[in-house]
Amino acid sequence: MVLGYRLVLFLFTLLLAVVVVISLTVGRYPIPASEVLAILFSMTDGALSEEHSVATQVVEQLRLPRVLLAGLAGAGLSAAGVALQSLFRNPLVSPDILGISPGAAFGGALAITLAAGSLATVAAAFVSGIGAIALVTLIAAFNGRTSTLALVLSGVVTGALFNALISLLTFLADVESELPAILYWLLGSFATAGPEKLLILAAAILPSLLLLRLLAYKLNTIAMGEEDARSLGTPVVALRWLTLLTVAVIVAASVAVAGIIGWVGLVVPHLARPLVGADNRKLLPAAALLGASFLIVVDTLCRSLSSSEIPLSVITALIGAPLFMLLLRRAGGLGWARA
Amino acid sequence: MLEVHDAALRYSGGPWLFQNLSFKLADGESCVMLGPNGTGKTTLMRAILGNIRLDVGRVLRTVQPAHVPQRLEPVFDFSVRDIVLMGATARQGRRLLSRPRLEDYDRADEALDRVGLAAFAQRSFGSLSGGERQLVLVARAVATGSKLIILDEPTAALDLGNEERVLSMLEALKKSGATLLMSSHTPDHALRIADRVLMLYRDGSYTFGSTQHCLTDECLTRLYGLELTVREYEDTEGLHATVARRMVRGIG
Repeated sequence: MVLGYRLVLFLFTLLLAVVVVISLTVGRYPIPASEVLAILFSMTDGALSEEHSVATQVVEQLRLPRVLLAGLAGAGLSAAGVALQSLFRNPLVSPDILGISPGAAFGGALAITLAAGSLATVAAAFVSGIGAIALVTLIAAFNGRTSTLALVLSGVVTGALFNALISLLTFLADVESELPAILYWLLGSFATAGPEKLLILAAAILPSLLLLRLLAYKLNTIAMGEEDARSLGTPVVALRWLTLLTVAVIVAASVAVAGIIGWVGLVVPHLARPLVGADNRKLLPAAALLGASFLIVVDTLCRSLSSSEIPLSVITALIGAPLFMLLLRRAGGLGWARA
Repeated sequence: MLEVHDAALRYSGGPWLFQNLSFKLADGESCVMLGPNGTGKTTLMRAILGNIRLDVGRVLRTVQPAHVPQRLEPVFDFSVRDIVLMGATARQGRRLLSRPRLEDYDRADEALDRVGLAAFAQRSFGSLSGGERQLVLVARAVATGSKLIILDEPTAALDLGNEERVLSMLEALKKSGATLLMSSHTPDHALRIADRVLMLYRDGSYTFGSTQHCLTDECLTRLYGLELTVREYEDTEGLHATVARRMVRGIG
């Protein structure tokens, strides 16, 4: 059932607002929603509260950066999933498939091994993630083919290569200090959220979301097949590379600040598609809003379910896998064409 | 409108699909392409559409052709109107950041109206029958506004009723001045739609000419490797005819 687009967008925005407020109340230092709202409003006034109560500090310095970071990453990864599923005309494609996540993760793991600082780790992950997509391109071009299938296969090869390098790093890493840091980082977490990371992620994701939205209509034509898209006036090759590069920026940035976050880019597009339909002009914004809420909820669970932080990928997979199974059961209503 | 000059094409190292192929279609002239499976009909269309390159020769065309594929099965389900709209926005030319304008929506609705599917605009493409889908694809081609429409066996998987609907639509398009290049496995279609016939034989040679010139016992027998005769029925309107298979023996 396809609801009205505006209604869905309104409901998803409302959901996001509610999720943000609830997430800010939850934690080891519970803060009532009324106080959270008061703190948020005082922040928008620009007048910093004089007293700096514990609640204000917890919201402003700990929880809000973390919620914003999770929201941005969730929105970015979900939009990236929508774009890739359209580009490859395959509902099972997710941002993980192109080798960008392992590529970025390798850069980060290498930086941790070399005992680099946290900003250097972020930078290394980002550069390495972009390097991975460049390698995918090179492998595909080396084979003289730039077809979609050749790209996916190159992505799989690149991913396997970087996963092997990560294994090598964990094997060589110091068991006492580096290994736990690498492993924890590979599983994903927003625990280290701070203003710099927020700035980096916002700078990468907000323009990327805008660009994907601008490409959305032409991504629709790709769904008709590449040759058909070409005769419908779509510059297929340019669209493909621009989309891939944008997705690479999103994934590399989110891996850089939070480690590998699986499942979001695969599941969220499938949750949004039955509600707004396959038109990417509507699906991209809807999936981005829903993805933001999804990852904020996941992160809130991560930091509040147990006394120690649970890695993000554990919860995204625990929620994502059963959800995806349910969705597959009723694939007829998923907004996929009938087989 | 469309000129193919001295064309030759083969798949890497394989035999030539066709060689020294030349033909010309004037504005408003329509051509049906006949030939057994594997003689390069679809390949030639892809070359004319600019999706693959000829090994030898060139394609000259004055407009970007509209394409009606044999079938369309988008992985994600779009509405009928969305699909026809993609034809309408093709007029904007090759652009990366284009989006539909108001007049594109109008053109899409007009095109749907023209094929008689205005009531289907909001339906999902995946829920349509084969014949309806084909008509939507014809509407999409109409919405591009291109005077040259290339159709790859548009009636191949259709029942008799739907085949008739699509053919009537093509006749109407032809009357309105469109140039059609269509492949088919039914020689009758040439009699209804075509001024010219292009026959691609298995050995890579071809015949191009008027329907009277091409739809002869001799050419059809050579084309399909069966002894075939053309019978004309005088009591039917125009040049309707039926191709009767006389002998099936001798086919492996």
